[in-house]
Amino acid sequence: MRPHWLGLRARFVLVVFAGVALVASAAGMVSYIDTRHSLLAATQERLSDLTQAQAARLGAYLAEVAGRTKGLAVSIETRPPRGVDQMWSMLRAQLMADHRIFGMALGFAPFAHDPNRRRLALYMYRSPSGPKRASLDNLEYNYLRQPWYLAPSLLGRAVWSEPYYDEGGGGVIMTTLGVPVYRQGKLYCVVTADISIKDLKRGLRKMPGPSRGWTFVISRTGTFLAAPQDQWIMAESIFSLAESLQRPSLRKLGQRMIRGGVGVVSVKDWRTGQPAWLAFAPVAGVGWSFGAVVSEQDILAPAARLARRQGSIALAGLAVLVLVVWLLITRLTRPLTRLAQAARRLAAGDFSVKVAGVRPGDELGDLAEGFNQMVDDLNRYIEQLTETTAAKERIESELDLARRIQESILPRTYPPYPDRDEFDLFGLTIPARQVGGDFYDYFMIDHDHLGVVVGDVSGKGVPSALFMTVARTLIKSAAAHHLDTTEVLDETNRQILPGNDMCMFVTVFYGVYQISTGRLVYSSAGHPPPLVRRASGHVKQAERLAGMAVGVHDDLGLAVGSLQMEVGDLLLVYTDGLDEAIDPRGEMFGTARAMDWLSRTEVTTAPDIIDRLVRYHRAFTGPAEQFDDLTLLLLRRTT
Amino acid sequence: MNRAAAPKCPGARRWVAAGLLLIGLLATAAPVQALDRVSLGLVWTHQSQFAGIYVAQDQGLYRQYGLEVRVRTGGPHKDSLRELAQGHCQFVMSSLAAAMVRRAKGLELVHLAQVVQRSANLLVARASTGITSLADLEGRRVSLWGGISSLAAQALFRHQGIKVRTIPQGTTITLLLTGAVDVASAMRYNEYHQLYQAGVDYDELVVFDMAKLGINLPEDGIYTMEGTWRRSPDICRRLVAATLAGWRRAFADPQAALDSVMRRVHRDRLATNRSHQRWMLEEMRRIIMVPRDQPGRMGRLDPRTFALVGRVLQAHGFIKSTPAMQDMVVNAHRKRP
Repeated sequence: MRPHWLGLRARFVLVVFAGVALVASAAGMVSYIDTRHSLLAATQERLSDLTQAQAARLGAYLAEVAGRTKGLAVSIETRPPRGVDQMWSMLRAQLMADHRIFGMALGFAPFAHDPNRRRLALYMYRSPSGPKRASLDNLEYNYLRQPWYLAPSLLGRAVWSEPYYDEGGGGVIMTTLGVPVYRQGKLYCVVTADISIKDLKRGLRKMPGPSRGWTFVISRTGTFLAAPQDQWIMAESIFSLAESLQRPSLRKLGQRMIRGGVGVVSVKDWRTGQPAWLAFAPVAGVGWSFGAVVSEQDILAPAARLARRQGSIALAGLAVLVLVVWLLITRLTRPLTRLAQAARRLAAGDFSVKVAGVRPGDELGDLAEGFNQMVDDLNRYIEQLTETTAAKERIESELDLARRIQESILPRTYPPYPDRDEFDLFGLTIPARQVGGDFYDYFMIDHDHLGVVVGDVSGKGVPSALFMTVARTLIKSAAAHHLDTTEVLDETNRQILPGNDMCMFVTVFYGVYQISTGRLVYSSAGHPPPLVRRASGHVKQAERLAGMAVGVHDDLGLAVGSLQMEVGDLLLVYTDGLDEAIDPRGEMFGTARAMDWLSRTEVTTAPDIIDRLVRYHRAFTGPAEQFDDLTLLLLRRTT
Repeated sequence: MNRAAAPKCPGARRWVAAGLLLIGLLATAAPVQALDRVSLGLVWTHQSQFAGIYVAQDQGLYRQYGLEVRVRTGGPHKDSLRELAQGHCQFVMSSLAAAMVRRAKGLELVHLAQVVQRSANLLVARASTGITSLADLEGRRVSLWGGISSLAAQALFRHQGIKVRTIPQGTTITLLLTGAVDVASAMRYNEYHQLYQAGVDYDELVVFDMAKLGINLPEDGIYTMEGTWRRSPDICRRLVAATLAGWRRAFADPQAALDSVMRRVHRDRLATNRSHQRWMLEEMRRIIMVPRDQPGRMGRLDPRTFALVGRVLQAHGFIKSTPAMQDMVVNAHRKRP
């Protein structure tokens, strides 16, 4: 399986961090949008109010000048000045009374004041050395053709002129209010007052405006009268900007403004090209429009500030959260780490390991407790195992002892009777387990008779071994009292049967060999008949005799057989461990194979033949486990 | 709005390039030739109406023609022909009508070349006044420039039999904008666009184009005293050739020409802007470079136009008889015969 690329702690922290960051940024976004919305709404309102207030203030400023001029007009209308000197003093008085007025003029209609004089115009203006007089009635200037005279006289009302460069005033930009004065229904004169645009601009600057942003005033024709850009003043109009920037929307906006519109609109600041808000309001009486532009960035600065602050708080919070979560996770996973270490030590064989310092009460406590319990159980089990093993070893050593005792019971000396050279005799038992139920025995009954016994007790192990010992002893004891082979076996049966509660039985071959004649008389209690090899090499099975195994029934129904052995003949008595042995494929060794081997084998001493037969037998069975004990007994007539 | 400032560098480069060219020309063609110093009087303050002259000056065309030209601006209180008569300028720009009146009154001036082929003179009314045709002008307040300047309009009214209330028109369009008058004089290249830049859309205006109405009294010809022409016809020809070359170059490179205009505008602190001057330059192209299928070639004065101006002037009593064209018009734009 692909391993995790991050540890448990890092994964947990990452998930928590991502989740909280997501929620925080979503909340921040919503908050920013809300703040932005309400800020824009509030600013629009505030900007609109402020602009109208400023426009009104500018209007009031101009209205004061207009009022003064109109006052002069009214006084001239009611009490026309008699002479030029009086005119000058009237002009001077008004000029001195209002510092905002740069100059004032009286332009009389042709022949209106003096029937002999077509042109009469007086102009008084400020100069560094005080009020100065100037006559405007020269032909070249021809005030009668000037807009300041013509517009009021044609329209019959006070008119603010389009701002203009004053030729006499050192290039100062002026705007002039012209007020027509009528006497007897005819135009008498036009009274004017000049305001320097410079003053207007200064006045604008004094006005409390939007903290950042810029204000401007455009005239009736859209021409800039006041603006932060000096090069715009008089030269550019909002329409010329629209033309050069190719922005028809700005032209439409300008038209709204000069037609006296009020509004707040979203625009692209035509100085910077940035999104901005423009509020505008008309300046009453003069046809101008006041505008204020505030960049959206400035308006939204508080929102941005708030967002930044929220962002930093969120970041700090996240940092703390991550720290706390890290610590918590570390505390949570410390038992896990300990458990992992303990498990590793346990795997390395340290059974003394314990997980300590894990507070019980939660899942990890349970886990640690379970681990410790497991180690305890493991230790206990190992202890028990050790004990069991010790017991087993004891039993096995006892069994081994028993085997050796059993082996020692059977006659093992070779040659068995060193002083008798008429026969060669050797027996061997190989138990399937430590102790077996097979046995063999031989004993001299008298000088000329040799008793030969091979038995096979049913079952295996210790009970068989014990039964075998009893059977062998009883047979040997019976053989001492009886010559007849059937009698020996019957006697043995009689001895065994009453106490045989376990229903064990034993097959027994018992033969008596007359050494002098080579004649063998024998009986078989359920035992397989022995094999005989003649000196010629011919092998045959001895006659199968009736008879049940000892320990089964009180009447065994035994028979007696006999066999004549010549010099060089071999007799092989065996148990079913020989013929019923199986190889790994399950094939049986069989009597035929034993007879075949026996016919082909070289005749040497009895132990040697048995030894080779056992090796041949082992080669056949291979590693297959043998369930039966194997007992072989070989008798050879030598003389 | 710093568009005037940006192209300054290319302008300067052109200047330098022209200068180098000139130096090259002088070095190869003419051995140390002293420049002839002359002065040229304009009919108005600096604006694109004279862009060709500025270009000829700024891009070294006059020097190339061996001239050092001092340009004198005009204005509302200046009369270029008076400047000529008084000897302040050797050369002046003037309308044909005004020059013909002076000639008829005895000032011995000659017409060297006709720059503007078609008059830009208009009468403009605001559509809101309900004026749609010439007949609607009857009884209306019409502001007109003084004297000869409004000759075409007066000829129109006389021809159509319209009586209007004439109001003297100053240098601004304020009277029309405030509604003090119903109709005003305008040059298509100037006041007409000023109205637009005052927020009046073109479709809010009703225009009567004098040239289209058959009263083409062209403005802006180059004049000098007959004596100057007799004494120094070569200088006159060079001045005309360089000026006309200046115009061609101005139309070929309007941005550089506008730079030249705006430099002078700023120097004189004139209340105008670049987009207005751009409009003016384009309009000058239309009235100077008349399309080939229409009469009028830059420099040439059409005899029919000359005759028309004389007829109109006579009809209005400005002159008693039309001066002979061969006396007054010397065709200095042509190659020496």
